[in-house]
Amino acid sequence: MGELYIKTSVKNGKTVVSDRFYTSPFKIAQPFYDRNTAEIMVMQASAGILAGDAHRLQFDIGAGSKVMITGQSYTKLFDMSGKNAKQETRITVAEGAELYYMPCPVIPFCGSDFESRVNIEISRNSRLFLWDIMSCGRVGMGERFAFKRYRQRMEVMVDGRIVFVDNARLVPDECDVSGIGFFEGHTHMGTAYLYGFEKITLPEAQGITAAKTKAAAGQLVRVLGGSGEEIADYLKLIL
Amino acid sequence: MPGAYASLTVMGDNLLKLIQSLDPLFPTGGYTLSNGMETYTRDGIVHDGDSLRKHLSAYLHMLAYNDLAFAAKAHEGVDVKNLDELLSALRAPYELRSASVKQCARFLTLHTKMDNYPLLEHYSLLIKEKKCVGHYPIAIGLLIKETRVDLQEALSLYCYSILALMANQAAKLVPLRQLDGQIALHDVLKSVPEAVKRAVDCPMDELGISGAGFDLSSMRHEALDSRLYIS
Repeated sequence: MGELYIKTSVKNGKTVVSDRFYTSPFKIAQPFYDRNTAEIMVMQASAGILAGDAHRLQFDIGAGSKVMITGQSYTKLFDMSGKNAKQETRITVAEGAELYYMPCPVIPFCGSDFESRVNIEISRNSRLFLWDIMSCGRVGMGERFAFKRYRQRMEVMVDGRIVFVDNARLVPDECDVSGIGFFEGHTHMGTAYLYGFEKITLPEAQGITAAKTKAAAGQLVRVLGGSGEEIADYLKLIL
Repeated sequence: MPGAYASLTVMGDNLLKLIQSLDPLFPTGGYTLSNGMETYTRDGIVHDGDSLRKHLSAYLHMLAYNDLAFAAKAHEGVDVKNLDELLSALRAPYELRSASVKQCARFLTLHTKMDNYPLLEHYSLLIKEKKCVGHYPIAIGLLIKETRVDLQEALSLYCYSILALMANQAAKLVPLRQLDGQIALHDVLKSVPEAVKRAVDCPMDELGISGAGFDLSSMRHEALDSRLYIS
């Protein structure tokens, strides 16, 4: 079981990692800075997520901090041969803080069974940009929708009220998720949720399907496309 | 309707009252909604009986975790304030959320003029006090509870009313022969009992399972330049 804890705060006007704790396979590098925003890259020493893994991550973004959390390349979900893996992520974003949570795209391999929970608590005057990108398998090898189960539930609360939930439950054996209503012939899916930002305009897109909407609070963008990088690059243009 | 006759003898007019409320002619504004179907027909993804059948079949899978499951939870007695907040958070596409709210408002207004079911009155009060926004599937779940119709039977009727309306909108939009729309619907009805069972058994954290394609069809509908339907 891997654990990761990161706490940020503002010191002399600069966002710093003020507390951290991690166990294998997690590692973090020194943050690097783009103007005032501290980019923290979460690295994993393992090749990906394996059967029996139960990871717990927590990020406490302190008042006034500006933080971007990213990962390395891809998160691979390996064949779990009838077993499964779980991941639980808890994030708090304090008053006046800004978080860009941009984990790397997920690739669920044939036979993978993964369950992820992401719970985010923010306050009314904080800002959140969150994305989630996944593929339908190792598309380059012609592997599509061969995973067993992919579950991810992301919940965003503002001052204790649930304002946004994205609930994915993809079980190809139960329902053809490659077609109408789900991937619709595409191989990759992306979701971005924004809270505390001005009304966005979507950039022109070629070869992908994208649209935005006003959620109960905040804004939602959904994208279907042909590669993880393509979707990530597109979503970066929104900011 | 399987079992309708048997139910009628024990249920008096309750089953009929439920059927009336779920009828597409019951003026909750259902006929103005396409719930993304207009985008699908515009794109040519739904273009004949077979593609309509595929659409309805996927839609049914999604309904089990959404409208049907929320009605089942409201029927079960889960706190309506929690359900109402959760449904707003899950139904992120604006047109789908606002359609549910509008349909609920009309539905409750009609019911206050026809009967006095305490659960519906309580929900109306919470909406009036701004503690809830009011969502149609929750109101339907409360009505099912009040009419004491068997939950699975009632959810099958609810599911039928949603699918029938959708098949009808598709038939008008494509356009299809009415018969082709009905054949597609008829084919999908086979899977309704399974979807209803899934809805009844749905754990709280599986409520609102989304389909990116369904969400996109609604979100893209917001930007269509000429539209016949409001969702």
